[in-house]
Amino acid sequence: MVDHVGLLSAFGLIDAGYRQAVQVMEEGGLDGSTSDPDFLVATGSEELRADIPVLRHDGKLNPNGRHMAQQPIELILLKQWASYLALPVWLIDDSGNLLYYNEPAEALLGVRFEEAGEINADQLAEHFHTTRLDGKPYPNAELPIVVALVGRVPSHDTVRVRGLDGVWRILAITAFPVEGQGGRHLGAVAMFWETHDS
Amino acid sequence: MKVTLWGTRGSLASGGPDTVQYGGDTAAVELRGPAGEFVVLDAGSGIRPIGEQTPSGTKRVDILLTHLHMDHIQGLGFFSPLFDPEIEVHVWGPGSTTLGLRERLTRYLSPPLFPVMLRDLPDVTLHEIRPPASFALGSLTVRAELITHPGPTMGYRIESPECVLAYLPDHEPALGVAEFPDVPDWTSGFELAHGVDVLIHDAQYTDDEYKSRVGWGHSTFDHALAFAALASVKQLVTFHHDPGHSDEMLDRAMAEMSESHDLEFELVPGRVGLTTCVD
Ligand SMILES: [Zn+2]
Ligand SMILES: [Zn+2]
Repeated sequence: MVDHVGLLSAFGLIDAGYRQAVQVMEEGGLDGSTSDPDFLVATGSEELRADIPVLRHDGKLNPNGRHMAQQPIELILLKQWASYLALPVWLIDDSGNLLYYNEPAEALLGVRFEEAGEINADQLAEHFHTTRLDGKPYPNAELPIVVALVGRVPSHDTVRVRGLDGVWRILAITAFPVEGQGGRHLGAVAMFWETHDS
Repeated sequence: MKVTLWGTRGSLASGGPDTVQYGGDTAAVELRGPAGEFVVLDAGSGIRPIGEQTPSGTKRVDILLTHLHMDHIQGLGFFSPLFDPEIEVHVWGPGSTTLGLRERLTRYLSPPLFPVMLRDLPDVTLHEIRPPASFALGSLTVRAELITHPGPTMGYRIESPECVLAYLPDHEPALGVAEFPDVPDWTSGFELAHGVDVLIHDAQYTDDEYKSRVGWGHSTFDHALAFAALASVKQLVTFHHDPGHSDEMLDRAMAEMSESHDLEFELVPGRVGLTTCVD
């Protein structure tokens, strides 16, 4: 069983996300505290630093303590790109939640995006069982999606996956991290090719 | 807070008898805050007359650039406060993934494109924004977020106690969306514009023009209306008018928009000299 949330926490990703958000807010500001007094980096202000506990992992401000509804533009554009592709694509946020899967990917999941919507990391872990091609257990930390999310490097492998319909498939998976503007780690993209060679 | 449109045209300055009402100068919007804040949104050719009428005794001006396309920076070198040692000028804008704001601006503010070097200006401070970012300018709160437009481009949400303004002059939220508008989560610019009193938004194309300009970074009249409705704004001011759109054509388009849609917000044609957000 793949436990993304546990795994991400174990790898320090979620904590690291918060640390990164705090660091982003503490850089620069309006006080000219950067080394070059003529050139400031604006990422926050004194008043807003008090709001650090309500920052999202990606460093987005949540000034009213409410859930910020909109995704970062990098993910919005990736979703639009994926919606035009004929190969299955997953879009995963930095906490391992499956934010979006395109129509070809619905066949792998056995459920339509319009019906199920986002799938959180816990549910993902329940829904998919992954092994090596010879049927041996696949170490969680080596799964391409986890490597892309946690290690922030691209990863590729061919694995056996049991989908929501109970069917075992052999899938080549390529995953890469989504690094946004300003050094924000926003998640990962995974692409799948079903293959019948084993 | 008082907001005045000085440059409303998109892409290219387009003076002449056909653009007198809506204006021929490119993007520049003056914003005066309740505590005397003097902010200019973008530095298109419309910024020159803002500089000309800057009151004596002015100590500070903040210029917020959405992005570095030519129609948004070409007036910068003609903004007289930049050459006045008594006035602090602060320029805010985005870097790219590989170049900082200074390097990007220097590409324009240096020979052969411009005779004066950025470093020769008396009192200019650059602030590179790494969106999403929030900061305060006096009593105003500014929020900057990336939005859909080629190259790193931001929209701004500026809040004073009395008025909330969203400024998204170059924005193509409909890009790649099968049925625009999508849900708010997946709509570029939604958070910036949500619930604002005044939205100044790209309305460059007719539906016909858009067909051959998908991906150029701009909206149709209908996209602007749909985006404003989705974001539940109170007033939409059309902006970034196409250089080929005459006053007559724009008046006709505005009238058609009002007649053919049951609008839940006020639709205001973005004519040069318009003032809004007046407390
Ligand atoms: Zn423009
Ligand atoms: Zn532009």
